[in-house]
Amino acid sequence: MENVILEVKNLSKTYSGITVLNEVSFDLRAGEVHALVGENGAGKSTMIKIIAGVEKPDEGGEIYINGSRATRLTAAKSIQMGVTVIYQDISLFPNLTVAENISIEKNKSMIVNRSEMKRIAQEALDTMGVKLDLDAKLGDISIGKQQLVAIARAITFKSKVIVMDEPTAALSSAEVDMLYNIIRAVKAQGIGIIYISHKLDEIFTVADRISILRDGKMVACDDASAFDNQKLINLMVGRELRFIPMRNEEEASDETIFEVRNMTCEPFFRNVSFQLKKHEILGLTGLVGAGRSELAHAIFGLMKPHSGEIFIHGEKVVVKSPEDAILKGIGYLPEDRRKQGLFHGHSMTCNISAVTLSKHLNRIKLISRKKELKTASDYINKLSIRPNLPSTMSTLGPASINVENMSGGNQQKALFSRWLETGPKVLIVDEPTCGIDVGAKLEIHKLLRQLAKNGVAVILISSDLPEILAISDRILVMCKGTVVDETVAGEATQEGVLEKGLMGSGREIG
Amino acid sequence: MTTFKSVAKSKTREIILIAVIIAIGIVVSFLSESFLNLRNLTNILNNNAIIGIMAIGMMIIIVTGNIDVSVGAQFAVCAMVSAAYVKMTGGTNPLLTFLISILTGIVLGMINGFFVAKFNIPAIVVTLGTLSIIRGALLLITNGKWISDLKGPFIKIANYRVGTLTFSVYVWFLVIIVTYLILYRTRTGRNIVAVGGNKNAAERIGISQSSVYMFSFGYMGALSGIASTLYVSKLAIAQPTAGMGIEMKLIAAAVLGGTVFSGGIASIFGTFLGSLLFGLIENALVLTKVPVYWQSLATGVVLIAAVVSSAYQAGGLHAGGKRSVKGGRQNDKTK
Amino acid sequence: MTKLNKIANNNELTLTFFALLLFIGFSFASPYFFRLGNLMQVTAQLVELGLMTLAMSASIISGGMDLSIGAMTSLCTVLLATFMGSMEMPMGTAILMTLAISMLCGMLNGFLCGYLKINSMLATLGTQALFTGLGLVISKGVTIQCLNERFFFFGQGRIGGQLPFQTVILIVTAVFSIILISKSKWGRHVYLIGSSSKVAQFAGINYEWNIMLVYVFSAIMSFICAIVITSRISGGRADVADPLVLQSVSAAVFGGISITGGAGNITGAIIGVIVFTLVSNGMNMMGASQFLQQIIIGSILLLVLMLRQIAKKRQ
Repeated sequence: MENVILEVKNLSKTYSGITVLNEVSFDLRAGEVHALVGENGAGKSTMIKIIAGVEKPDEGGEIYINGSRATRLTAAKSIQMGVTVIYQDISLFPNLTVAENISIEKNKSMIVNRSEMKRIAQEALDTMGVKLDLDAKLGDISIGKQQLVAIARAITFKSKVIVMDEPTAALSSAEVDMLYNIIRAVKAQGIGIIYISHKLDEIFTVADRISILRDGKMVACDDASAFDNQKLINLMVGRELRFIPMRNEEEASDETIFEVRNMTCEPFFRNVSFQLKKHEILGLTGLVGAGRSELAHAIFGLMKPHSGEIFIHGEKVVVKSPEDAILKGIGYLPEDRRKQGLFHGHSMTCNISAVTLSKHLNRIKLISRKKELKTASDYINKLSIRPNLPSTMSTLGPASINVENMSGGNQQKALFSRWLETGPKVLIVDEPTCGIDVGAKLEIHKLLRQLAKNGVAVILISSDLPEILAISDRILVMCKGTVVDETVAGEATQEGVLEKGLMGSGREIG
Repeated sequence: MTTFKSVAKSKTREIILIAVIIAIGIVVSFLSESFLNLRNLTNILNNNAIIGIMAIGMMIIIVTGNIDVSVGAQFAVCAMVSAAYVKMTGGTNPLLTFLISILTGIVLGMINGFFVAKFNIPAIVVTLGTLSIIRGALLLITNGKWISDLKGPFIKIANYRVGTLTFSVYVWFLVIIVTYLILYRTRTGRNIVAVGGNKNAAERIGISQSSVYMFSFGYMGALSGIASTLYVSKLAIAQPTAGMGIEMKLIAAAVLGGTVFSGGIASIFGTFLGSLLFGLIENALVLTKVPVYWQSLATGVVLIAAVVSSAYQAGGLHAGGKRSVKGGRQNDKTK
Repeated sequence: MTKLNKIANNNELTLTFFALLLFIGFSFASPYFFRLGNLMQVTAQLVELGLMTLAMSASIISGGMDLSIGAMTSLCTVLLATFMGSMEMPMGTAILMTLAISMLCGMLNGFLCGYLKINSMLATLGTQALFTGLGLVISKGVTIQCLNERFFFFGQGRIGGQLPFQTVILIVTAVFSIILISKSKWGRHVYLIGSSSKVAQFAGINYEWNIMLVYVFSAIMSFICAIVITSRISGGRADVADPLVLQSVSAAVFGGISITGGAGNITGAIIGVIVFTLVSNGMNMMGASQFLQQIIIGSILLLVLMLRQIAKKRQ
């Protein structure tokens, strides 16, 4: 094969008896984008960590970078040999400037030369065709721009291989397009890219080749043209699965159960009004930064709006704090599962009961462990939370397991349980299926549908357009803090929504 | 674009501190005639060099995201070691005294660094342990006895004046300059800031966290060595209880100067001003004949005012009325 | 095998085992150790550090650290002594007044850390200086005597001529605290906030109020500690409890409370205090110097944490 710059042979990895990677082989050619797909827990991140030198593989596997065998990789050695990983959390330094971040490893001498540093940074940005303020503190610029800085840094490392782990997870559509252009520019320089993503349309846009991991095994590897959506999903999941549009069979009634009137919270959003009818799911979409999450925060009392009114079942409610919002029947499942949702280091039970402790008290107002456990196991059964754990841990039962040891899908279900237990009248779910596998995604969609059927006002915030189109009844598109469009789902198309969301937003990045 | 406004914004803390220092100065100069003369003002510098030098070290440690509460004990060991050496040799070789003391400090600091880096134990716990061990060992070995009656050229050094400033103050300035160069002009310094800013990111590009920790604790030790030798030279005695409780003062000076507790943000000039402010308060109370026991109260009020003002500063960033979602110490422990 | 592992992983059990070992060791090493008089003495020695550790533990679990508890306790001793001494107030009034002032101190901490969201170590570093300053100003820097005979019972009295009354105070307070922190809604909220204050806010947990209560709790514990100290030394001094602050952090951490918050429990912390006190008393009985005790306690702390980290890595 021509120009193979990275080759992995028979790589295996076991964690305390569980095989996470099983004899995986993989190769990457110069100037190609090779997408690596698979459900959560399929072994993608483990494989990346091994290539990046963060984890050690089991005996027997071989890694060749640029033709030379890499043994005993460390993080530094891996970078030196030409592999750079751009992690999901970006992994840059918020307290350093853009220039410092880009050229951090370039300056090999003991003495730091500031002008040289800027020159290197500028050069890297020029190759990408991007303009950024070199002296800006990284923490002060948008996530999208930070992503660009990460790529620029990889270029200064003289990397032959760049690994992008869910690079678009926090990007708006405009920024995603921008990223595509940069990927093309980077490819043209002969750099190979390993592209990890859950979003299939993205993969078909950028990838030249696609490899599919399932349960730690490589199940397929071929040119991108050899796959289509359905085939990819089948290979990933190992069973037939389709993204079926789900709508309520019964007619949406005319009864308005939730309404927001003229809500404004500068500088995030202004004059937002909408209504939610019984049995409906309201889809709320738009670019990241359009004010969607902030709108949810304002409704949930995390943030004080400057003006605006909220009505639940026709009654006006004033929300003073999240605590107050919960009392009044509003629930919010936050965007960032790891940083806003889960209490790490605590059990499933404790995570599920966190909001509803008052319901789990005994006669003398102390927490009743029995009641808590019962609630937790009820939800574990009802939402089929299936921990995939070694036998030593499962003796405890899923309710006592630390949430950190759960897969993304199960964690998300635990958060759903937390909010279902509050018996919400209004439930706002913010990117509920971000970064979780296809199977769990479908289950969550079904759950949302079920909630709407039971009369809960469900607001679904999502950047995933196919998802929005498939399960919401009405779609609200936000752009730069205002609602620019409201359509009935049946009439909306992906392109239409996208266009509305982009309208007037310009392409500011770069 | 670096406009005046953006400079002003990034240096708010220093500007506020200077304003407070000037304001206190004006008030005190009305209350006491002996305040506003060169001799008194330079005395404030002279008297605070020792604290000031160590505060710089504490700042570096805080920048890496750690803390060192064992510095007082470190300081005492170094002081005793240099005093013992001076007693033995008659104080004829000041340079060697400094070197021995610095070396002692580095070794003690590196022990802290070793535990923090290799065993991944939070620095506050490690240094609590070493505080107890080092102080205990020193008291056990010396049996609590002081070393006094030091003689020789050595004891003239700390107060040796060039112009109106003492040698100690020049050492302080030198430490500030060297620290500045290390922090902003060397790889080591940049690594310190990087590790303080994002530990994981640093590890992923191969910046060794251990060596950053070892360096910062070692540097603190070296500065303890320098400061304690100046102390011995100044007072011509050393006692095993020297420097007790000094750690709180150092942390306060660094923090008053704008060093952020969670790491990553350094302020050398601010730390200098912070140490100076404490010295100024002390001086002002002495001159206005306020009983000495009011000092702690005044320090407390200033410290609380400083942290409250910085809380408002941080709060001001969320103009949209967004409730700031930050909390106490180390609250984002998501892995 | 897994059962064994579970026992080894159970921090309280390991620590209790360790305490028992020390107990047996000292009983053999010193003829004076295992005597009723001395054992009662041990329980009395536990009390002050124990109460301080309760105060410290709550704030550490909440993800902060209250450095002002020593100063608060000292201030309370000065107040108690002044109220009952030179001001000749009745005992009950003096105690209630001091309690009220200590709660105000705690509310100040709670306001700074909870409502203004200032880093707790910073805020309490400031209030520590403030409280010490107040104590110094009130006492003019000297020990204030307090010779109220009835009051001596709290720190010197013995029930049935044997059991020190202060031990009873500690037992009652500790049991109450354990239940409050591990079983009450507030306690659970404190754990969750300590785990992540951001997540807690998204879960509708009232950060401000719960943190306020944490610092008021610390203040009340400090106040109880002050009663015992004032009674024991028949007076108050503005720095009398200062050395207990860092010791209480050590004891709490040694007892398994995570310094980063959100994990560990009060029972463990109390066992930590017992181990520290046993070491110190046992070594006293063997005639070892106080400085040697300091070294040994420091070493035990580091050793245990090292072992814990190594064990964690293995997993």
